[in-house]
Amino acid sequence: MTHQERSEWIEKYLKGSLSGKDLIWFESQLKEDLDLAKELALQKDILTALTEKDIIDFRKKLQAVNDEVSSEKSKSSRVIHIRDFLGKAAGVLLLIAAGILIFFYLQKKSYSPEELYQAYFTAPETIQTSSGIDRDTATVRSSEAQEKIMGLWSQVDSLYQMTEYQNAFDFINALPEEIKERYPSDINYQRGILALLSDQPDSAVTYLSSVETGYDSKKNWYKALALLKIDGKEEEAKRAFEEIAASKNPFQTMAIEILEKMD
Amino acid sequence: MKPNRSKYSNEDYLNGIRQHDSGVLQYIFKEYLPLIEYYIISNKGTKEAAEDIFMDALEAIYRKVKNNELKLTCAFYTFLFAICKNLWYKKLRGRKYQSGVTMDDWEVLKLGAYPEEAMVRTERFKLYREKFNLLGEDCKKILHWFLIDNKDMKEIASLMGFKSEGYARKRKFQCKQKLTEMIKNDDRFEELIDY
Repeated sequence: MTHQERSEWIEKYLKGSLSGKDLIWFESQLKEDLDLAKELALQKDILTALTEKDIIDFRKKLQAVNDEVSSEKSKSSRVIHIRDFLGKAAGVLLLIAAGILIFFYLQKKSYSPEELYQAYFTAPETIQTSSGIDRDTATVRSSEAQEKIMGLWSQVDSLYQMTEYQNAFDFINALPEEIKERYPSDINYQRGILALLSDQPDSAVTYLSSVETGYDSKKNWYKALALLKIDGKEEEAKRAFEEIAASKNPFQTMAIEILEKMD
Repeated sequence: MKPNRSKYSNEDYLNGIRQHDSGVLQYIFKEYLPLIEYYIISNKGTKEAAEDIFMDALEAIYRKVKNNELKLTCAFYTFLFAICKNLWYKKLRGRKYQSGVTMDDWEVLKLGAYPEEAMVRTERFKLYREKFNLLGEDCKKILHWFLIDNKDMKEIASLMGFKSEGYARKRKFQCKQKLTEMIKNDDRFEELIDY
């Protein structure tokens, strides 16, 4: 049998046009001839790949969506700064409104640590950091490296914004070691906030205590709140709020209020 | 202020993929492709490679959902990210770049829970289609008419302007041989066919 004849037998078999003695003979050949069986498997696979219409359509659709999203992204990058500003302004207004409501609400009764936590805890607007741009004075970093690092913080924050805290946590864990070693404080702050939002106050305290540089007032504030959530740590929480209340910082007023309610 | 919740549930994602829904697919690309790009670019890849891997992962998911074979026990993104990582890991391993790649052991161990067969099939069939597209125009026409449109050789001979059906058969055989050779000579073939 020539190669061409062999190929035609396979085609006929795959198209279901063999019958009777021809079919029996070909199937017996398949059992004896391993190369023929392999050839048949490959031809069948190729035929399937070329005729899977739904898959081919799906790939075309994915490509079209990708092209569309890429083109939208390049247009929207022009207005991103304005949107950022408006988003932050709205956040500040809501925080002020929430603060006023909390003030009037807390005038009326005393609260348990958990109730105080619920009343005063507000998740940070973002856990994105600018590290990699404004630090690293000892090393001159290329703009490509800066872009890469900023991209990383942006990815973590993106998952945070979608409330996918576990995924954000996993993403941080999967980062290259060199980044984890270079920015331990940023990473521990992010892990601390994510742990707090995932109802793991013990881990949050551990991570926030490991933040050595930056995040001073935020780190202390969220650590104090995390302590409020842990049974038996009320006194420790109180001391943490006292430290916050002792110096001027964005959380001073709220810390004083909490201390009044804890007494 | 609390961050916004994810727009879709797991079921929405899977239904959207099953139905080729533009809204769902756009959301997936907007929200998740940048994350995958970051991961792949950080691990010796390029933006283009990331897009390719991302679409392969979605195709693998589509293969499972169209047959109702997929039940997610984790967030959609976690699943998608794990498939992308595994596809990329395999690609790097194939290129002998294994050392220096950041890949937590648990990710590799979890491979068994992922749609391995759909992933391999996606890669293998993509290879076949790529090679088919590299054939000359005449070969593509002959094989398309014969394999996909099920035209008989007499009609193909006439459409191609060949003098005889016998010559058309010979050309079809040569085209198939060419396609098969290109597939077998590709480095990816052995790894994908051994599955």
